[in-house]
Amino acid sequence: MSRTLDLNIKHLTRVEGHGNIVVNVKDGRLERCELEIVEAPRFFEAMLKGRSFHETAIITSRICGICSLGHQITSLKATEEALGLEVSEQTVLLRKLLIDGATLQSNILHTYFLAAPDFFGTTDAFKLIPTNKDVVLRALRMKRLANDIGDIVSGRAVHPITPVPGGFTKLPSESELRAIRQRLIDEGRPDMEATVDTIASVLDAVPDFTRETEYISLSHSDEYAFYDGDIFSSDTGATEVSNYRDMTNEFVVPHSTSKHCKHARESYMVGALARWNNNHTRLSEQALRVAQRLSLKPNCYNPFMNTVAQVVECYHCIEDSIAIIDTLLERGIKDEKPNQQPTRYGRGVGATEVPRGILYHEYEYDRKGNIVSADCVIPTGQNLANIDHDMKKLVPEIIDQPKEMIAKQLEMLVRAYDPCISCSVHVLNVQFIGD
Amino acid sequence: MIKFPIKIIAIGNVLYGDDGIGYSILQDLRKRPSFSGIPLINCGVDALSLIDHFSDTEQVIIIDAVKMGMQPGTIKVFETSDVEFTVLSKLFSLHGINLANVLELAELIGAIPDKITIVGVEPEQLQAGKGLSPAVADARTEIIDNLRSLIFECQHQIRG
Repeated sequence: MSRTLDLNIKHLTRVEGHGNIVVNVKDGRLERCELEIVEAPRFFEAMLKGRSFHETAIITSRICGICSLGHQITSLKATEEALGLEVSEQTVLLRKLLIDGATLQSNILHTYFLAAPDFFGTTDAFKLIPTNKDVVLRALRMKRLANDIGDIVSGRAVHPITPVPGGFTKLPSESELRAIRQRLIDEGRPDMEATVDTIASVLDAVPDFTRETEYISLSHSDEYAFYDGDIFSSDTGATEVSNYRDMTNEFVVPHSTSKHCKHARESYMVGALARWNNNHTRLSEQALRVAQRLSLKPNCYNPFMNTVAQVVECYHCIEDSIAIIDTLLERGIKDEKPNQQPTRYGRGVGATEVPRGILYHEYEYDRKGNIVSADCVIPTGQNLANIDHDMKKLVPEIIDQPKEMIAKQLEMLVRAYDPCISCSVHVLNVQFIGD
Repeated sequence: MIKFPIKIIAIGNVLYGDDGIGYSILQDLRKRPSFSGIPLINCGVDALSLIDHFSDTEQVIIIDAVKMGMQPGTIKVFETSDVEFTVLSKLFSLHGINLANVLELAELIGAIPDKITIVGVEPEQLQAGKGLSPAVADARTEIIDNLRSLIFECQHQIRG
């Protein structure tokens, strides 16, 4: 390659928050290739200081509108660990059901609204409506089903209210659980099959690119780990969640307001593809069938396949939700009150697999049950260095293509990671006619 | 399908200063008997979920912080058919999806109520960790008065 290329994609579209892709190639030499994160940092950790353990999860669930449930559950786990609060098996099952719903919702939205336009060759999902209205309606229907799981179990899907330290303030009724179970069978499964057909039809649009990296996720011997487990690295094996700082090693880089992370190599990947590579043998039978149909093989080193791994997980979440509801109904919903009597005050770490990857919250509480210090390491921050290294390998491989094609593939790559750079403030801009 | 005559929906992030005005109003309305029986829905930062609330209602009132280039705390009540939104479809993201995107999507899939009224409040500050600014907090009484009139109008139309 002897080309000179300057790419500066400002405010990358269809990712959550503000990021720019900057690439400079001079006389065939790659001088700069990085994802700039320009979003102002959001100081949630500072906001938590001095707050009571009753409030912590309420505040942290608002770190993110899409992953609010993941933040909330992770926060509750960290608080319970710090305060020595035991939770019941019923609470764990209900939380797992919530995570299935939230993962289903997030993966579906990313696949259909953010990634699919690339596969269909359009700029945004709205352009799909005239030709593929049924696909968009299906996406919205699946989102609603996933939302309704959250509504029933947690009071409401966005910013859940009933999950609290030690349990739930309100429990779903058996008839509500039966009804959502039926919808998972009547709506969820057929919509999922149709989703698989749709994605199978556009698989050729997934770029052929590989870069092996370190894959980090939770891992559990008995289940496909979302709620619980040890931290597992494809390079170094398992370690306890309390050692998370040894895995994340956050560091500051000049081109990003979000910290980067690294572990055994210069970067690592978290998210659906990392979970697939580390834990695929524990997926449901149906999910494994779908993986085969969508050419997702263990171990997959193509980051563009992260979206496909998300689709596979969707099927698993539907099947796992049905199985959890069956267990809950078999045992009967017990009228339990949350256990909120601390047995100690100290530090606690919670780790959960949220849609974009492994999320850590760590809190230290004083003897009044107020936060002394807090640390949150979010999945997108962990992926940023890996995205840079993917881009550095990808650019030389496609350097002879037209500039627009290079730009498109780089944007697709970043989107494949489903990055959530921040939550935007939802403000409408209006121009009054005649004003 | 039997439809609700009207729903009141708030959107916005309560942790971002004046973006939390809609939720603050809903909390107030929940205590007022004159608003009982009207679905009061908080969509928070999941603007896309508005679509789920559109198909079974005749009318919707949406309370939101709206940048209109006016004095902070200024309230404007308008129907969506009366304004042009800055629709930035290309900037479509899930966190970033705004009301304009949702309305466009609802229109395209044919899931739009007959009438959408927006009660917009000009924000002063949209910073994480801040509560409502004094200008926006002071606008609350007037916002509720506006909502009362809109509800009265709707009920009057139905009876008429």
